[in-house]
Amino acid sequence: MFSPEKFIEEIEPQVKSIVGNNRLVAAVSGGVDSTTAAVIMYRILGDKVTPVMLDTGFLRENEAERVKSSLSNIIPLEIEDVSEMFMKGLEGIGDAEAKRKKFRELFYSTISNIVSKYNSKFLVQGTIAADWIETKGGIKTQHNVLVQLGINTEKTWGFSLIEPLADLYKNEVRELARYIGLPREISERQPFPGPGLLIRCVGVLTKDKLEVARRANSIVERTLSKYHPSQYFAAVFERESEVDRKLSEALLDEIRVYKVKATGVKGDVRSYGKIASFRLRRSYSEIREVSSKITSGDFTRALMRIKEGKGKYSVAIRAVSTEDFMTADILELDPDTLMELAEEITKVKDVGEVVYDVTTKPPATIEYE
Amino acid sequence: MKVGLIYFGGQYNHLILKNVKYLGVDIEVVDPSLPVEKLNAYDCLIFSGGPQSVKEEINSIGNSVNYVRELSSPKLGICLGHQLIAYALGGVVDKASNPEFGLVKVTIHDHDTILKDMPSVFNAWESHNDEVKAPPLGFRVLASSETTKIQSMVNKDNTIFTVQFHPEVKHTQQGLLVFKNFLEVCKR
Repeated sequence: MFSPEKFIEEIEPQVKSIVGNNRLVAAVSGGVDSTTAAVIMYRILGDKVTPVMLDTGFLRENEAERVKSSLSNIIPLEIEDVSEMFMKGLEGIGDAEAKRKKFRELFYSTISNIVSKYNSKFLVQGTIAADWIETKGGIKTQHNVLVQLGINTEKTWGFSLIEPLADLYKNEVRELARYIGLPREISERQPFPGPGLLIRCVGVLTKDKLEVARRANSIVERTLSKYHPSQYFAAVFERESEVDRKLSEALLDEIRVYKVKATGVKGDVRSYGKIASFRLRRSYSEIREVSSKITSGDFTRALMRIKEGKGKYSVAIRAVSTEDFMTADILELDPDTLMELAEEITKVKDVGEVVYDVTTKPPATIEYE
Repeated sequence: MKVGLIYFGGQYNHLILKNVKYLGVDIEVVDPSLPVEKLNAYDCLIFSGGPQSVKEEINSIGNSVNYVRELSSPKLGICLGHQLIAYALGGVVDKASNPEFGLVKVTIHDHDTILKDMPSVFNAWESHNDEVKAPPLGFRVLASSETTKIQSMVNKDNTIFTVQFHPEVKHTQQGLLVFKNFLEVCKR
């Protein structure tokens, strides 16, 4: 199995010989991958490394301050507030891949300026195996995958990349984080994607959708953390839907189809498919059957309706278990727990519906876009 | 001993590589455009999953059909690999009547070599649009699911093994056993 001790022994001399006397910037999102990568590099190279976190405006409530204080005795983290520029560049874009690619462009042009400000030659980032496999396979564009796509970072942005964790999966990164003595708060930290809440605002990005996403994510995290899902969050999209008569008849249900699309992966191929919801049911064997019947067609998401309200947005609760993030199963949460949670979420302004996502990976991906 | 992993760009290929390495066996990624002779460097071959459809895109998967037809080394086919082996040896592959994504219950009828020590009914993880409709001559079906009758096959010489499900992913119960069983065959 994976040996963190051997891993460190192998990369230490490699890193030292690549870096020489040059300076580095380490991009930290606050998630376990980028933080572990930054800390390992800082331990090996000391203050040649400047760890930087971009506050893109798509972070969770108080996230930048929380990350900075949890790392205060470990690495000196600089925070750059670029939220206005990111909102200006991304507001109004609706297609999932267009959003991810625009985010990547804004992210690296900002990082490029920071790298030159600190007279650095290298950028350290926490790209892991799942990131480049999904990006190379055309499933979705993870913003931190560049070299693997043949992008010349030196020519485009003026830095060379160091990705110490590129061969590892999430469970191995966590082992490594524990081995190097990072506090539990970091080694067991909930993963958070680089583009953050941007990709949980499904479809067109607007300021009010982002605020709903931020509030709903706080509520979901607070309520579901005790069930220890590997990943759990809320995604927000327009509630507008139409009933699919044929599918409703076939499944003896009322199947509603939404206007927005979500990213999925079917038979190793990207699938940007439709989202459907069905009535609340209590038996998970029934729920799983409905879900797989819906997604065997051109849908990538099957959602179970928990509660309705009056606002214009639907909020989807997602909670999955996975070790390596390559496949994921849904958590079989008790419908009463879901109803209590939905009750609280419908109090958020503009929320008109709360649904529970019951799609495994595949055919869905873990995040919506 | 060295295993060749024929790489078709599937989502779980890198997991196969790591699983076999962690079992202490040397494994290398093989680009399917390599000429057949080069494959003599390997004691056995694993044909991975991938996005291609055997029926419509056979030309995009390089020389792999010839690897199946011409080389006598033990073979394990997974997902696309399973369909490719069936196709190359005269079986029938087509669009699945019920594509399976995610959790599937697989029932083993005959454990044979490759499914040795696996539970008779187990949770497998799948992701396929095509399926094997009929096995090649001389092949025996070892396992099936409710909607996909051919989940696993073996040839009569007990040297070619295939599975439609993904033994390399964590959500497949006891999936690692498939690799252990196959590597035992490679050592023979």
